Amino acid sequence: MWRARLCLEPFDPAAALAAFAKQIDAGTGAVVTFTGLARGANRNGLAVETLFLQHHARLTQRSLDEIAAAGAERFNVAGIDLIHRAGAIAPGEAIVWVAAAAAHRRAAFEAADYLMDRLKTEALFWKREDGADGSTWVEPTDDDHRERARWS
Amino acid sequence: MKSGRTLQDHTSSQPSAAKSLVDRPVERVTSAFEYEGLQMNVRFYGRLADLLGEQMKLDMADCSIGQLRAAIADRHPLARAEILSQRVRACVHDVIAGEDHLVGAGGTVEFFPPVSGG
Repeated sequence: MWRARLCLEPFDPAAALAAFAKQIDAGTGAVVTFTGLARGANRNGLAVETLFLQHHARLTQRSLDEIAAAGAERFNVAGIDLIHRAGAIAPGEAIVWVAAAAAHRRAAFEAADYLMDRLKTEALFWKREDGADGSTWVEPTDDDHRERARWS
Repeated sequence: MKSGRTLQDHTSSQPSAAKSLVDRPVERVTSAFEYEGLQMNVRFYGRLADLLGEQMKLDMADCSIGQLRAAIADRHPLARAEILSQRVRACVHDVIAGEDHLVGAGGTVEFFPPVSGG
């Protein structure tokens, strides 16, 4: 069981977890979640007023589906759920939330880690930081690519 | 009878379609290519949209992705390095397309700078 949602409005990770927990079966012994938040400062320490994530009308959802399905296929998990924001995001708001449920913790940890590494480098978004000093488009870092390569 | 009526409707709609072309306001006509349907539609995302706008129409007939990149670079020198970068991927009909992929006249090509989620 997997699900991936593109979300254009703020969402509540706690509510997402509560809904996910209701769907997992009796054999599940572990649920791992990760929530990514919009930071109020960029890599250079300058204030970010808004994080803007541009998405593609069709291919962004497809990329999220592909990543969630690959996680469900690759790991021994009972369920995967992910939510990804697009549009204008204020500092402190959730950008991304992933959840993996499994019989034992290792598969759940690894699946959540895998989903995030792929989302950082392959989810079809274009990310811009808007601040008083102007706007900057952000691309994956070398570290992001190294983390992704661990799963190749 | 039903199919005959459908044919008749279709036929009778043609003169009005032709008339609407003739009546098109002059200010909307951008080039002779538009009448022939030979304009290439291009969409840009991310930093490319900042440089080139979100959409562009180019007077081009059939061409490869590589030729399209070169044409855009010639017309917009400030975006030359970006549009020619192989880190920028081309997409046709929602599928990533290689440099030799041929795009027909009137087709749409989207250019994607590197993506980043999370």
